[in-house]
Amino acid sequence: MDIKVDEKNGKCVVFSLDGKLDLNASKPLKEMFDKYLDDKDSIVLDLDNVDFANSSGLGLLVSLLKTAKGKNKNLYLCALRPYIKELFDVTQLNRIFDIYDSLEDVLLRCEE
Amino acid sequence: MAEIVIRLGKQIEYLNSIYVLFDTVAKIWQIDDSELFKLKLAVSEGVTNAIENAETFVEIKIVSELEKNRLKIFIFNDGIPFVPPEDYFELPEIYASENRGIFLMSKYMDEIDFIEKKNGTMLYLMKQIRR
Repeated sequence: MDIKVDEKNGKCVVFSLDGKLDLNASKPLKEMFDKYLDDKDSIVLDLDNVDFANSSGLGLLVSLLKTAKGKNKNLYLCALRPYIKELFDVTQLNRIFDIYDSLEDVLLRCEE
Repeated sequence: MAEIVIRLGKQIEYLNSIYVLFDTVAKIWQIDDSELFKLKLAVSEGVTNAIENAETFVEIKIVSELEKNRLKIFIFNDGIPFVPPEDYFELPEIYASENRGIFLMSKYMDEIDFIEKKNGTMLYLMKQIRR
Protein backbone atom coordinates (compact mmCIF):
# COMPACT_ATOMS: atom_id res chain seq x y z
CA MET A 1 0.00 0.00 0.00
CA ASP A 2 1.47 3.35 -1.08
CA ILE A 3 0.14 6.50 0.55
CA LYS A 4 0.55 9.97 -0.95
CA VAL A 5 -0.16 12.80 1.46
CA ASP A 6 -1.53 16.15 0.32
CA GLU A 7 -2.25 18.88 2.88
CA LYS A 8 -5.00 20.88 1.20
CA ASN A 9 -5.27 23.59 3.82
CA GLY A 10 -4.73 23.97 7.52
CA LYS A 11 -7.74 21.84 8.39
CA CYS A 12 -7.73 19.00 5.90
CA VAL A 13 -5.31 16.37 4.66
CA VAL A 14 -5.85 13.92 1.83
CA PHE A 15 -4.30 10.45 1.83
CA SER A 16 -4.33 9.01 -1.68
CA LEU A 17 -4.08 5.26 -1.24
CA ASP A 18 -2.65 3.03 -3.95
CA GLY A 19 -2.82 -0.75 -3.75
CA LYS A 20 -4.74 -3.30 -1.73
CA LEU A 21 -6.61 -2.51 1.46
CA ASP A 22 -5.91 -5.67 3.44
CA LEU A 23 -3.97 -6.66 6.53
CA ASN A 24 -0.70 -5.58 4.91
CA ALA A 25 -2.05 -2.00 4.66
CA SER A 26 -2.78 -1.77 8.35
CA LYS A 27 0.57 -0.58 9.69
CA PRO A 28 1.41 2.14 7.13
CA LEU A 29 -2.09 3.60 7.09
CA LYS A 30 -2.46 3.59 10.87
CA GLU A 31 0.94 5.27 11.29
CA MET A 32 0.09 7.98 8.77
CA PHE A 33 -3.34 8.52 10.31
CA ASP A 34 -1.92 8.89 13.83
CA LYS A 35 0.70 11.34 12.57
CA TYR A 36 -1.85 13.80 11.17
CA LEU A 37 -4.99 13.30 13.27
CA ASP A 38 -4.23 15.73 16.09
CA ASP A 39 -3.33 18.63 13.76
CA LYS A 40 -6.24 18.34 11.31
CA ASP A 41 -10.02 18.61 11.51
CA SER A 42 -10.58 16.22 8.64
CA ILE A 43 -8.78 13.33 7.01
CA VAL A 44 -9.83 12.26 3.52
CA LEU A 45 -9.02 8.80 2.20
CA ASP A 46 -8.99 8.87 -1.60
CA LEU A 47 -9.58 5.26 -2.67
CA ASP A 48 -9.46 5.87 -6.42
CA ASN A 49 -6.38 3.66 -6.80
CA VAL A 50 -7.45 0.96 -4.36
CA ASP A 51 -8.30 -2.05 -6.50
CA PHE A 52 -9.03 -4.50 -3.69
CA ALA A 53 -10.25 -4.55 -0.10
CA ASN A 54 -11.21 -7.29 2.31
CA SER A 55 -12.54 -7.53 5.86
CA SER A 56 -9.13 -6.66 7.35
CA GLY A 57 -9.15 -3.41 5.37
CA LEU A 58 -12.74 -2.66 6.30
CA GLY A 59 -11.99 -3.35 9.95
CA LEU A 60 -9.03 -0.99 9.76
CA LEU A 61 -11.23 1.79 8.36
CA VAL A 62 -13.82 1.23 11.10
CA SER A 63 -11.07 1.45 13.69
CA LEU A 64 -9.80 4.73 12.18
CA LEU A 65 -13.35 6.09 12.09
CA LYS A 66 -13.87 5.32 15.78
CA THR A 67 -10.56 7.00 16.64
CA ALA A 68 -11.46 10.08 14.59
CA LYS A 69 -14.94 10.37 16.12
CA GLY A 70 -13.44 9.99 19.59
CA LYS A 71 -11.39 13.11 18.93
CA ASN A 72 -14.24 15.01 17.24
CA LYS A 73 -12.50 14.78 13.88
CA ASN A 74 -13.90 13.84 10.48
CA LEU A 75 -12.93 10.88 8.35
CA TYR A 76 -14.19 11.01 4.77
CA LEU A 77 -13.89 8.42 2.00
CA CYS A 78 -14.07 9.20 -1.70
CA ALA A 79 -13.79 7.73 -5.20
CA LEU A 80 -14.58 4.12 -4.34
CA ARG A 81 -14.44 1.69 -7.25
CA PRO A 82 -17.68 -0.23 -7.88
CA TYR A 83 -16.60 -3.50 -6.25
CA ILE A 84 -15.28 -1.68 -3.18
CA LYS A 85 -18.49 0.34 -2.96
CA GLU A 86 -20.46 -2.90 -3.15
CA LEU A 87 -18.46 -4.19 -0.16
CA PHE A 88 -19.58 -1.17 1.86
CA ASP A 89 -23.18 -1.82 0.82
CA VAL A 90 -23.04 -5.55 1.63
CA THR A 91 -21.53 -4.93 5.06
CA GLN A 92 -23.79 -1.89 5.62
CA LEU A 93 -20.75 0.23 6.43
CA ASN A 94 -22.16 2.82 4.03
CA ARG A 95 -24.42 3.73 6.98
CA ILE A 96 -21.57 4.95 9.19
CA PHE A 97 -19.05 6.37 6.70
CA ASP A 98 -19.31 9.66 4.83
CA ILE A 99 -18.61 8.51 1.28
CA TYR A 100 -18.24 10.91 -1.66
CA ASP A 101 -18.15 10.16 -5.36
CA SER A 102 -15.05 12.24 -6.05
CA LEU A 103 -12.19 14.04 -4.36
CA GLU A 104 -13.57 17.35 -5.62
CA ASP A 105 -16.88 16.71 -3.86
CA VAL A 106 -15.30 15.88 -0.53
CA LEU A 107 -12.95 18.88 -0.68
CA LEU A 108 -15.98 21.16 -1.04
CA ARG A 109 -17.32 19.55 2.13
CA CYS A 110 -14.02 20.15 3.92
CA GLU A 111 -14.10 23.84 3.02
CA GLU A 112 -17.52 24.40 4.62
CA MET B 1 -9.97 -31.11 -14.17
CA ALA B 2 -6.78 -29.35 -13.11
CA GLU B 3 -5.22 -28.79 -9.72
CA ILE B 4 -2.78 -26.25 -8.35
CA VAL B 5 -1.32 -26.72 -4.88
CA ILE B 6 0.82 -24.16 -3.09
CA ARG B 7 2.23 -24.21 0.40
CA LEU B 8 3.01 -21.02 2.31
CA GLY B 9 4.65 -20.11 5.57
CA LYS B 10 2.63 -18.16 8.12
CA GLN B 11 3.75 -14.67 7.04
CA ILE B 12 0.87 -12.40 5.99
CA GLU B 13 3.07 -10.94 3.22
CA TYR B 14 2.46 -14.18 1.29
CA LEU B 15 -1.08 -12.98 0.66
CA ASN B 16 0.24 -10.97 -2.30
CA SER B 17 1.29 -14.17 -4.07
CA ILE B 18 -2.30 -15.42 -3.80
CA TYR B 19 -3.58 -12.32 -5.59
CA VAL B 20 -1.08 -12.90 -8.41
CA LEU B 21 -2.07 -16.57 -8.64
CA PHE B 22 -5.77 -15.74 -8.95
CA ASP B 23 -5.11 -13.01 -11.52
CA THR B 24 -3.40 -15.73 -13.58
CA VAL B 25 -6.23 -18.23 -13.08
CA ALA B 26 -8.71 -15.53 -14.10
CA LYS B 27 -6.86 -14.88 -17.36
CA ILE B 28 -6.77 -18.58 -18.24
CA TRP B 29 -10.43 -19.01 -17.39
CA GLN B 30 -11.51 -15.63 -18.81
CA ILE B 31 -13.23 -14.81 -15.53
CA ASP B 32 -14.77 -11.35 -15.53
CA ASP B 33 -13.58 -8.67 -13.11
CA SER B 34 -16.60 -8.84 -10.83
CA GLU B 35 -16.25 -12.59 -10.33
CA LEU B 36 -12.51 -12.28 -9.89
CA PHE B 37 -12.96 -9.66 -7.17
CA LYS B 38 -15.31 -11.97 -5.25
CA LEU B 39 -12.97 -14.93 -5.63
CA LYS B 40 -9.94 -12.98 -4.47
CA LEU B 41 -11.87 -11.56 -1.56
CA ALA B 42 -13.08 -14.95 -0.35
CA VAL B 43 -9.66 -16.53 -0.76
CA SER B 44 -7.90 -13.61 0.93
CA GLU B 45 -10.26 -13.99 3.90
CA GLY B 46 -9.63 -17.72 4.10
CA VAL B 47 -5.87 -17.40 3.72
CA THR B 48 -5.65 -14.52 6.22
CA ASN B 49 -7.52 -16.60 8.82
CA ALA B 50 -5.42 -19.66 8.02
CA ILE B 51 -2.14 -17.74 8.34
CA GLU B 52 -3.26 -16.26 11.66
CA ASN B 53 -4.27 -19.68 13.03
CA ALA B 54 -1.52 -21.81 11.52
CA GLU B 55 1.08 -23.47 13.64
CA THR B 56 3.65 -23.54 10.85
CA PHE B 57 2.12 -23.59 7.34
CA VAL B 58 -0.88 -23.03 5.08
CA GLU B 59 -1.65 -25.12 2.01
CA ILE B 60 -3.99 -23.95 -0.74
CA LYS B 61 -5.37 -26.29 -3.36
CA ILE B 62 -7.32 -24.93 -6.31
CA VAL B 63 -9.33 -27.45 -8.28
CA SER B 64 -10.76 -26.20 -11.54
CA GLU B 65 -13.66 -28.10 -13.02
CA LEU B 66 -13.94 -26.34 -16.32
CA GLU B 67 -16.65 -28.64 -17.63
CA LYS B 68 -18.89 -27.68 -14.70
CA ASN B 69 -17.83 -24.02 -14.71
CA ARG B 70 -16.76 -24.11 -11.12
CA LEU B 71 -13.69 -23.64 -8.96
CA LYS B 72 -13.14 -25.47 -5.70
CA ILE B 73 -10.63 -24.09 -3.23
CA PHE B 74 -9.30 -25.93 -0.19
CA ILE B 75 -7.32 -23.95 2.39
CA PHE B 76 -5.65 -25.98 5.11
CA ASN B 77 -3.72 -24.72 8.11
CA ASP B 78 -1.99 -26.89 10.62
CA GLY B 79 -2.45 -26.33 14.35
CA ILE B 80 -5.37 -26.67 16.74
CA PRO B 81 -8.57 -27.33 14.74
CA PHE B 82 -11.07 -24.48 14.76
CA VAL B 83 -14.58 -24.62 13.35
CA PRO B 84 -16.28 -21.24 13.78
CA PRO B 85 -19.67 -21.12 15.51
CA GLU B 86 -22.74 -20.12 13.49
CA ASP B 87 -22.76 -16.48 14.57
CA TYR B 88 -19.43 -15.97 12.76
CA PHE B 89 -21.40 -16.32 9.51
CA GLU B 90 -23.56 -13.32 10.36
CA LEU B 91 -22.78 -9.64 9.97
CA PRO B 92 -21.26 -8.34 13.23
CA GLU B 93 -22.42 -5.12 14.88
CA ILE B 94 -21.64 -2.20 12.65
CA TYR B 95 -18.77 -0.66 14.64
CA ALA B 96 -16.95 -3.98 15.09
CA SER B 97 -13.35 -3.76 13.92
CA GLU B 98 -13.23 -7.43 12.87
CA ASN B 99 -15.21 -10.61 12.18
CA ARG B 100 -16.67 -9.72 8.76
CA GLY B 101 -14.50 -12.23 6.90
CA ILE B 102 -16.60 -15.38 7.22
CA PHE B 103 -19.77 -13.41 6.50
CA LEU B 104 -18.21 -12.10 3.27
CA MET B 105 -16.94 -15.53 2.22
CA SER B 106 -20.39 -17.02 2.67
CA LYS B 107 -21.95 -14.07 0.82
CA TYR B 108 -19.66 -14.27 -2.22
CA MET B 109 -19.13 -18.03 -2.57
CA ASP B 110 -21.70 -20.68 -3.49
CA GLU B 111 -20.51 -23.20 -0.92
CA ILE B 112 -18.40 -22.82 2.23
CA ASP B 113 -17.54 -25.34 4.89
CA PHE B 114 -15.02 -25.58 7.71
CA ILE B 115 -13.80 -29.12 8.26
CA GLU B 116 -12.03 -30.18 11.43
CA LYS B 117 -8.97 -32.30 10.69
CA LYS B 118 -6.79 -34.27 13.09
CA ASN B 119 -3.88 -31.83 12.76
CA GLY B 120 -5.57 -28.63 11.63
CA THR B 121 -8.51 -26.98 9.87
CA MET B 122 -9.64 -27.24 6.26
CA LEU B 123 -11.75 -24.51 4.68
CA TYR B 124 -13.67 -25.54 1.56
CA LEU B 125 -14.92 -22.91 -0.87
CA MET B 126 -16.75 -23.42 -4.14
CA LYS B 127 -17.81 -20.88 -6.73
CA GLN B 128 -19.79 -21.31 -9.90
CA ILE B 129 -18.00 -19.12 -12.40
CA ARG B 130 -19.85 -16.75 -14.69
CA ARG B 131 -17.75 -15.89 -17.76
